[in-house]
Amino acid sequence: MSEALALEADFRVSVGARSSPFEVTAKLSLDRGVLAVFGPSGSGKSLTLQVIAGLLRPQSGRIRVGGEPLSDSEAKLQVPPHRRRVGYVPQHHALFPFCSVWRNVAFGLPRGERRPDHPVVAGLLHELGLEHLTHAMPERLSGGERQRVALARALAVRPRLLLLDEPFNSIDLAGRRELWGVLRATLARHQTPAVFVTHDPLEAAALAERVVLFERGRSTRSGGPELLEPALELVRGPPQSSGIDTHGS
Amino acid sequence: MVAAAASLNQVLPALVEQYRARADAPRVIVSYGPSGGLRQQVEGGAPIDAVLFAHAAPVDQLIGRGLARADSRAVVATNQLVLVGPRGGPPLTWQTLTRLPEGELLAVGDPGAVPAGHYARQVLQRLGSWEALQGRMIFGGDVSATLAYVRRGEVAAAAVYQTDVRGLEDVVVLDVARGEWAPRVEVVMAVTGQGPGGEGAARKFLLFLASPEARPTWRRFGFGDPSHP
Amino acid sequence: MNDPVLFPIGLSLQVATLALAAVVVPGVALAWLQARRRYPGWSLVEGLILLPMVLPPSVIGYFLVVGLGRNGALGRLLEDTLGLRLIFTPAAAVLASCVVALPMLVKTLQPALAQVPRELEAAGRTLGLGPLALFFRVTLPVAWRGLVAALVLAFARALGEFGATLMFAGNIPGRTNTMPLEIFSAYQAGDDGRALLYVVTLTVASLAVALLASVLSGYRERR
Repeated sequence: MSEALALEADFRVSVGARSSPFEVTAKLSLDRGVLAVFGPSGSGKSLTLQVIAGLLRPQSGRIRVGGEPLSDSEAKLQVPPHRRRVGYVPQHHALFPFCSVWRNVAFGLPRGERRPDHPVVAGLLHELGLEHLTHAMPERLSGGERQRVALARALAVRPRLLLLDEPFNSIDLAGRRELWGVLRATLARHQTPAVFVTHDPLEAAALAERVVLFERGRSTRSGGPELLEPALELVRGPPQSSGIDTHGS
Repeated sequence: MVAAAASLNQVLPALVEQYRARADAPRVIVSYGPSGGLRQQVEGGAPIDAVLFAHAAPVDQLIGRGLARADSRAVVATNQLVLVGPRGGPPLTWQTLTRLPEGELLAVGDPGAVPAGHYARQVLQRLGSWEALQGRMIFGGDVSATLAYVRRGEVAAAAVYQTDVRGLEDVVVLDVARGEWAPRVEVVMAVTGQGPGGEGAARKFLLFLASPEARPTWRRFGFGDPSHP
Repeated sequence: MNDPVLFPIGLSLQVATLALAAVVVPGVALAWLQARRRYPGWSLVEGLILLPMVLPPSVIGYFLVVGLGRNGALGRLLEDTLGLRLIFTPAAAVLASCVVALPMLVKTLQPALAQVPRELEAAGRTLGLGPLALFFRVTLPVAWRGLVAALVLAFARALGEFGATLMFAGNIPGRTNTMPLEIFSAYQAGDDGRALLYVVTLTVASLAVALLASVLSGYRERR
């Protein structure tokens, strides 16, 4: 990794009807590691990720990933999502239903590399414990397995930054804890910085080194995991942060 | 209700008017169309009292099926098949039709349904050019539609009746079908008796059409006498 | 295909195939545009697409003759510049079929494209797929049943075109007499045997198409 920050974003985006638009103002940055975008649902977290991915065009502001400008309203710059090399795992995993597991993982690779035994594909399937499902179709997978495939698919194209939108929403707590470990280890191994959206303080605390808080369409504060303390107290009662692995590296 | 060939749509109104001028004449309503199509309507049970076609075959078919009275069948007038073209178009004759300029078409009535087309096919077959003209002939749904192709300048020539082009400025007669290959074009009528007017009234109207009283009107519109064309 | 009885069958198939080939690219593009984009004039375009479906075929035929006939503005232009005359040619039959096949294709495909989950496309885009690759590798594979249904219905509509074809291509035996025209001509002539052959052919073809389309759209709903 160079000196450049993994992500610098400062923008305003507005969606919905002109009469009653929903406006989001976001400011976030990440030098390396994992950033949690934390806040209640409807606070503009998912929209923020979509803007960084290039799926939505901000009304104004700037976005840089790894030092490269991807969006700049003043310079009229808007790099389309397919040229950003920014990975994105949408809320509902969105596996291609007509593709087997390995085809999903290999989807973003050049035509010649789309093989189940290609090192990138086979490596990711192995890492994420999906080898026995190589030829399975998505409809037969459990929620956790689908998330692993979605993660492998996003990482296969070597993104400079990975965006995850409520990645483990539909998975039970036990499964979620297991996947937290998998995600942490995988991101570390690939040295891929990541931004993930969550409304679960336990999840944020388990995964993130940096935190940005969202409230009513606005990023309010950013800092270390200590920002999560008030929310964590609500979840587990008195402050006794023994069981929580805050994973400072 | 009288069903009449499209080629009679000028002379019949005059004849109906003349007929109605007689004090005791009942009302006559005329429906025009291609003879083949009108015959279909009669067979389908349409409320038609009498038919007046430009060709004997459909009338005889109705008689053969018991749908028209054989004793009422009569030839009331004759006509002539002509080749017409747009004013200023290429000069063509029945014999030179095979040398129709490239890209040009000849309009004829659909031979199965339109008597003028039936006669045209007869002429072209007798002249040996029917086969050669395949793909160069556009079929009109009735004789008016056939003539309309010429009037809109879409075709170089059309086979229609002499009486159809009376008084038309934009159409010229290129050639008249004369000689032993020329068809005998007859206007044939018969009572069907399945309409609301009643058989008696229908017979009365048809008798008038064949009468010496109606003859000058037929002639005025270009139709020939039944006996000698 | 020189047999005068078989000719209309072969001609109809050719005309419908060419019409389908001509409308498939603009039709799919239009369906995508209408399903996925909102822009000023969207409703107007939507209305124009529907127009041939609600207009009487004779009105379509009239527009074609007036516009592209020998004395039509566009027809004259084509003839003067390119030496091209459309009216009363097999190409005119193809064009008449295109006019009715296009809305059928667009209107059948549009809802299928609208149902493709946005998240799937978002995933595809962030995996590096440009607009065309995205359409062929994500959108179409999801909506393929809708596409096949749209194609067969458009083909059937093209195959059955009568009114506008009669007016714009005319009934020229051996050249433009498609099955529907032949049925009408045979019926007028009282030649029920000849009509029946084409009636049966068209009925069987249309029935097969309708069944296929309903099976495909049934699948789509079940998903």
